[in-house]
Amino acid sequence: MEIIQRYEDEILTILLKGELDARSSIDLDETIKVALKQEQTRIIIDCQHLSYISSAGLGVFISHLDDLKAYGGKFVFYGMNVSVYNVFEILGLHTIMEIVRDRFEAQTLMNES
Amino acid sequence: MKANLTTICSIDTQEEIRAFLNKFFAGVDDLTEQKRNQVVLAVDEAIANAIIHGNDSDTEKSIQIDLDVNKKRIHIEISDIGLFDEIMNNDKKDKDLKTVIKEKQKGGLGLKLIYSIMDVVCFYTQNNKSYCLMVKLLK
Repeated sequence: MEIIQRYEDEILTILLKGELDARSSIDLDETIKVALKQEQTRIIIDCQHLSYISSAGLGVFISHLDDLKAYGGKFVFYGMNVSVYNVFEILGLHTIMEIVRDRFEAQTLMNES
Repeated sequence: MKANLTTICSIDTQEEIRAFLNKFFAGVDDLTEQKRNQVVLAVDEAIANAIIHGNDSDTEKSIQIDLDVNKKRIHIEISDIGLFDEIMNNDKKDKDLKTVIKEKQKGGLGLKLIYSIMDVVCFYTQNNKSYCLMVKLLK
Protein backbone atom coordinates (compact mmCIF):
# COMPACT_ATOMS: atom_id res chain seq x y z
CA MET A 1 0.00 0.00 0.00
CA GLU A 2 1.23 3.47 -0.84
CA ILE A 3 0.44 6.48 1.35
CA ILE A 4 0.95 9.82 -0.32
CA GLN A 5 0.49 13.11 1.56
CA ARG A 6 -0.06 16.65 0.34
CA TYR A 7 -0.54 19.69 2.57
CA GLU A 8 -2.17 22.67 0.92
CA ASP A 9 -4.38 25.55 2.13
CA GLU A 10 -4.33 24.14 5.69
CA ILE A 11 -5.78 20.84 4.52
CA LEU A 12 -3.83 17.57 4.61
CA THR A 13 -4.78 15.15 1.84
CA ILE A 14 -3.81 11.52 2.37
CA LEU A 15 -4.00 9.44 -0.79
CA LEU A 16 -4.31 5.71 -0.16
CA LYS A 17 -3.24 3.44 -2.99
CA GLY A 18 -3.80 -0.32 -2.70
CA GLU A 19 -5.13 -2.45 0.14
CA LEU A 20 -5.55 -1.15 3.69
CA ASP A 21 -5.28 -4.16 6.01
CA ALA A 22 -3.71 -5.15 9.33
CA ARG A 23 -0.21 -4.63 7.89
CA SER A 24 -0.64 -1.31 6.11
CA SER A 25 -2.86 0.20 8.80
CA ILE A 26 0.24 0.40 11.04
CA ASP A 27 1.82 2.84 8.55
CA LEU A 28 -1.40 4.84 8.19
CA ASP A 29 -1.75 5.14 11.96
CA GLU A 30 1.78 6.50 12.18
CA THR A 31 1.08 8.99 9.37
CA ILE A 32 -2.00 10.33 11.17
CA LYS A 33 -0.19 10.51 14.53
CA VAL A 34 2.55 12.64 12.94
CA ALA A 35 -0.08 14.87 11.32
CA LEU A 36 -1.79 15.43 14.68
CA LYS A 37 1.54 16.33 16.29
CA GLN A 38 1.98 18.94 13.56
CA GLU A 39 -1.56 20.18 14.25
CA GLN A 40 -2.75 19.11 10.82
CA THR A 41 -6.28 18.16 11.81
CA ARG A 42 -8.28 18.92 8.66
CA ILE A 43 -7.69 15.70 6.77
CA ILE A 44 -9.12 14.62 3.43
CA ILE A 45 -8.74 10.92 2.63
CA ASP A 46 -8.48 10.30 -1.12
CA CYS A 47 -9.86 6.78 -1.64
CA GLN A 48 -9.89 6.78 -5.44
CA HIS A 49 -7.12 4.17 -5.55
CA LEU A 50 -8.10 2.28 -2.39
CA SER A 51 -9.15 -1.22 -3.45
CA TYR A 52 -9.73 -2.87 -0.05
CA ILE A 53 -10.24 -1.96 3.60
CA SER A 54 -10.41 -4.23 6.65
CA SER A 55 -11.42 -3.46 10.23
CA ALA A 56 -7.80 -2.61 11.05
CA GLY A 57 -7.95 0.27 8.56
CA LEU A 58 -11.31 1.45 9.88
CA GLY A 59 -9.95 1.21 13.42
CA VAL A 60 -7.23 3.73 12.60
CA PHE A 61 -9.80 6.35 11.53
CA ILE A 62 -12.10 5.59 14.48
CA SER A 63 -9.31 5.83 17.04
CA HIS A 64 -8.40 9.37 15.90
CA LEU A 65 -11.93 10.66 15.33
CA ASP A 66 -12.47 12.29 18.73
CA ASP A 67 -8.95 13.78 18.84
CA LEU A 68 -9.51 15.48 15.49
CA LYS A 69 -12.86 16.86 16.65
CA ALA A 70 -11.30 18.16 19.85
CA TYR A 71 -8.85 20.20 17.76
CA GLY A 72 -11.59 21.45 15.44
CA GLY A 73 -10.64 19.14 12.61
CA LYS A 74 -12.18 16.13 10.91
CA PHE A 75 -11.80 13.44 8.28
CA VAL A 76 -13.57 13.78 4.94
CA PHE A 77 -13.42 10.78 2.60
CA TYR A 78 -13.96 10.84 -1.15
CA GLY A 79 -13.71 8.61 -4.20
CA MET A 80 -14.62 5.32 -2.49
CA ASN A 81 -15.43 2.36 -4.69
CA VAL A 82 -18.58 0.31 -4.00
CA SER A 83 -16.75 -2.46 -2.22
CA VAL A 84 -14.93 -0.15 0.23
CA TYR A 85 -18.10 1.88 0.89
CA ASN A 86 -19.95 -1.36 1.61
CA VAL A 87 -17.57 -2.13 4.51
CA PHE A 88 -18.44 1.25 6.07
CA GLU A 89 -22.13 0.46 5.51
CA ILE A 90 -21.99 -2.97 7.17
CA LEU A 91 -20.79 -1.37 10.41
CA GLY A 92 -22.98 1.74 10.13
CA LEU A 93 -19.90 3.94 9.80
CA HIS A 94 -21.29 5.64 6.68
CA THR A 95 -23.67 7.55 8.99
CA ILE A 96 -20.86 8.71 11.28
CA MET A 97 -18.03 9.45 8.84
CA GLU A 98 -18.25 12.23 6.27
CA ILE A 99 -18.09 10.55 2.87
CA VAL A 100 -18.58 12.41 -0.41
CA ARG A 101 -18.16 11.61 -4.08
CA ASP A 102 -15.32 13.79 -5.31
CA ARG A 103 -12.49 16.16 -4.41
CA PHE A 104 -14.58 19.28 -4.96
CA GLU A 105 -17.29 18.13 -2.54
CA ALA A 106 -14.65 17.09 -0.02
CA GLN A 107 -12.98 20.49 -0.09
CA THR A 108 -16.32 22.30 0.12
CA LEU A 109 -17.37 20.21 3.12
CA MET A 110 -14.03 20.77 4.82
CA ASN A 111 -14.20 24.51 4.31
CA GLU A 112 -17.73 24.70 5.70
CA SER A 113 -16.45 23.78 9.15
CA MET B 1 -15.52 -27.60 -4.87
CA LYS B 2 -12.79 -27.70 -2.24
CA ALA B 3 -9.48 -25.98 -1.58
CA ASN B 4 -7.10 -25.41 1.30
CA LEU B 5 -4.17 -23.22 2.13
CA THR B 6 -1.58 -23.37 4.89
CA THR B 7 0.35 -20.23 5.75
CA ILE B 8 2.71 -18.94 8.42
CA CYS B 9 1.39 -16.68 11.19
CA SER B 10 2.35 -13.32 9.74
CA ILE B 11 0.20 -10.40 8.64
CA ASP B 12 2.57 -10.04 5.68
CA THR B 13 0.87 -13.08 4.13
CA GLN B 14 -2.68 -11.65 4.18
CA GLU B 15 -2.59 -10.00 0.76
CA GLU B 16 -1.61 -13.34 -0.77
CA ILE B 17 -4.36 -15.14 1.18
CA ARG B 18 -6.98 -12.65 -0.10
CA ALA B 19 -5.79 -13.25 -3.68
CA PHE B 20 -6.20 -17.00 -3.13
CA LEU B 21 -9.71 -16.53 -1.67
CA ASN B 22 -10.79 -14.15 -4.45
CA LYS B 23 -9.65 -16.61 -7.11
CA PHE B 24 -11.43 -19.52 -5.43
CA PHE B 25 -14.71 -17.68 -4.79
CA ALA B 26 -14.75 -16.26 -8.33
CA GLY B 27 -15.68 -19.77 -9.44
CA VAL B 28 -18.73 -20.00 -7.15
CA ASP B 29 -22.06 -19.57 -8.90
CA ASP B 30 -24.75 -17.59 -7.06
CA LEU B 31 -22.15 -15.47 -5.29
CA THR B 32 -22.33 -11.86 -6.45
CA GLU B 33 -19.20 -9.73 -6.53
CA GLN B 34 -20.39 -7.81 -3.47
CA LYS B 35 -21.07 -11.01 -1.50
CA ARG B 36 -17.71 -12.41 -2.61
CA ASN B 37 -15.91 -9.29 -1.34
CA GLN B 38 -17.77 -9.59 1.95
CA VAL B 39 -16.89 -13.26 2.45
CA VAL B 40 -13.22 -12.56 1.65
CA LEU B 41 -13.33 -9.73 4.21
CA ALA B 42 -14.85 -12.00 6.89
CA VAL B 43 -12.16 -14.66 6.33
CA ASP B 44 -9.43 -11.99 6.31
CA GLU B 45 -10.71 -10.66 9.65
CA ALA B 46 -10.75 -14.13 11.22
CA ILE B 47 -7.21 -14.80 9.98
CA ALA B 48 -5.94 -11.43 11.26
CA ASN B 49 -7.37 -12.22 14.70
CA ALA B 50 -5.80 -15.68 14.64
CA ILE B 51 -2.39 -14.35 13.58
CA ILE B 52 -2.18 -11.28 15.83
CA HIS B 53 -4.15 -12.22 18.94
CA GLY B 54 -4.26 -16.01 18.81
CA ASN B 55 -0.70 -16.76 17.79
CA ASP B 56 1.21 -13.54 18.63
CA SER B 57 2.43 -13.31 15.01
CA ASP B 58 4.71 -16.27 15.70
CA THR B 59 6.08 -17.23 12.27
CA GLU B 60 7.03 -20.65 13.63
CA LYS B 61 3.31 -21.40 13.78
CA SER B 62 0.96 -21.92 10.86
CA ILE B 63 -2.71 -21.47 10.04
CA GLN B 64 -4.77 -23.68 7.77
CA ILE B 65 -7.81 -22.53 5.80
CA ASP B 66 -10.21 -25.15 4.43
CA LEU B 67 -12.87 -24.12 1.91
CA ASP B 68 -15.79 -26.28 0.85
CA VAL B 69 -18.58 -25.09 -1.43
CA ASN B 70 -21.74 -26.79 -2.61
CA LYS B 71 -24.93 -25.45 -4.18
CA LYS B 72 -26.38 -24.42 -0.83
CA ARG B 73 -23.51 -22.99 1.17
CA ILE B 74 -19.88 -21.94 1.57
CA HIS B 75 -18.16 -23.67 4.46
CA ILE B 76 -14.91 -22.17 5.80
CA GLU B 77 -12.79 -23.60 8.57
CA ILE B 78 -9.68 -21.93 10.01
CA SER B 79 -7.25 -23.58 12.42
CA ASP B 80 -5.31 -23.24 14.71
CA ILE B 81 -6.82 -19.91 15.73
CA GLY B 82 -5.34 -20.23 19.20
CA LEU B 83 -7.66 -17.78 20.95
CA PHE B 84 -10.70 -19.83 21.79
CA ASP B 85 -11.22 -18.62 25.37
CA GLU B 86 -10.59 -14.98 24.47
CA ILE B 87 -13.16 -15.01 21.69
CA MET B 88 -15.77 -16.87 23.70
CA ASN B 89 -15.50 -14.25 26.42
CA ASN B 90 -15.27 -11.32 24.03
CA ASP B 91 -18.02 -8.71 24.23
CA LYS B 92 -16.55 -6.49 21.49
CA LYS B 93 -18.85 -7.81 18.79
CA ASP B 94 -21.82 -6.51 20.78
CA LYS B 95 -20.30 -3.12 21.53
CA ASP B 96 -22.14 -0.05 20.31
CA LEU B 97 -20.24 1.85 17.59
CA LYS B 98 -20.36 5.10 19.58
CA THR B 99 -18.70 3.33 22.52
CA VAL B 100 -15.96 2.01 20.22
CA ILE B 101 -15.32 5.59 19.02
CA LYS B 102 -15.43 7.04 22.54
CA GLU B 103 -12.97 4.47 23.83
CA LYS B 104 -10.70 5.10 20.79
CA GLN B 105 -10.50 1.37 20.12
CA LYS B 106 -8.51 0.20 17.15
CA GLY B 107 -9.76 -3.36 17.51
CA GLY B 108 -13.09 -5.03 18.04
CA LEU B 109 -14.63 -4.25 14.68
CA GLY B 110 -13.36 -7.43 13.01
CA LEU B 111 -15.68 -9.68 14.99
CA LYS B 112 -18.59 -7.32 14.28
CA LEU B 113 -17.89 -7.67 10.56
CA ILE B 114 -17.59 -11.46 10.73
CA TYR B 115 -20.91 -11.82 12.58
CA SER B 116 -22.62 -9.32 10.23
CA ILE B 117 -21.46 -11.02 7.04
CA MET B 118 -21.62 -14.75 7.79
CA ASP B 119 -24.78 -16.75 8.49
CA VAL B 120 -23.13 -19.10 10.97
CA VAL B 121 -20.04 -18.37 13.10
CA CYS B 122 -18.75 -20.92 15.56
CA PHE B 123 -15.56 -21.32 17.59
CA TYR B 124 -14.55 -24.67 19.06
CA THR B 125 -11.59 -26.71 20.27
CA GLN B 126 -10.69 -30.27 19.43
CA ASN B 127 -7.53 -32.20 20.27
CA ASN B 128 -5.87 -29.04 21.68
CA LYS B 129 -6.50 -27.11 18.46
CA SER B 130 -8.84 -24.12 18.12
CA TYR B 131 -11.10 -23.74 15.11
CA CYS B 132 -13.21 -20.99 13.60
CA LEU B 133 -16.07 -22.30 11.48
CA MET B 134 -18.02 -19.94 9.25
CA VAL B 135 -20.88 -20.67 6.88
CA LYS B 136 -22.40 -18.44 4.19
CA LEU B 137 -25.67 -19.64 2.71
CA LEU B 138 -26.12 -19.29 -1.03
CA LYS B 139 -29.37 -18.14 -2.73
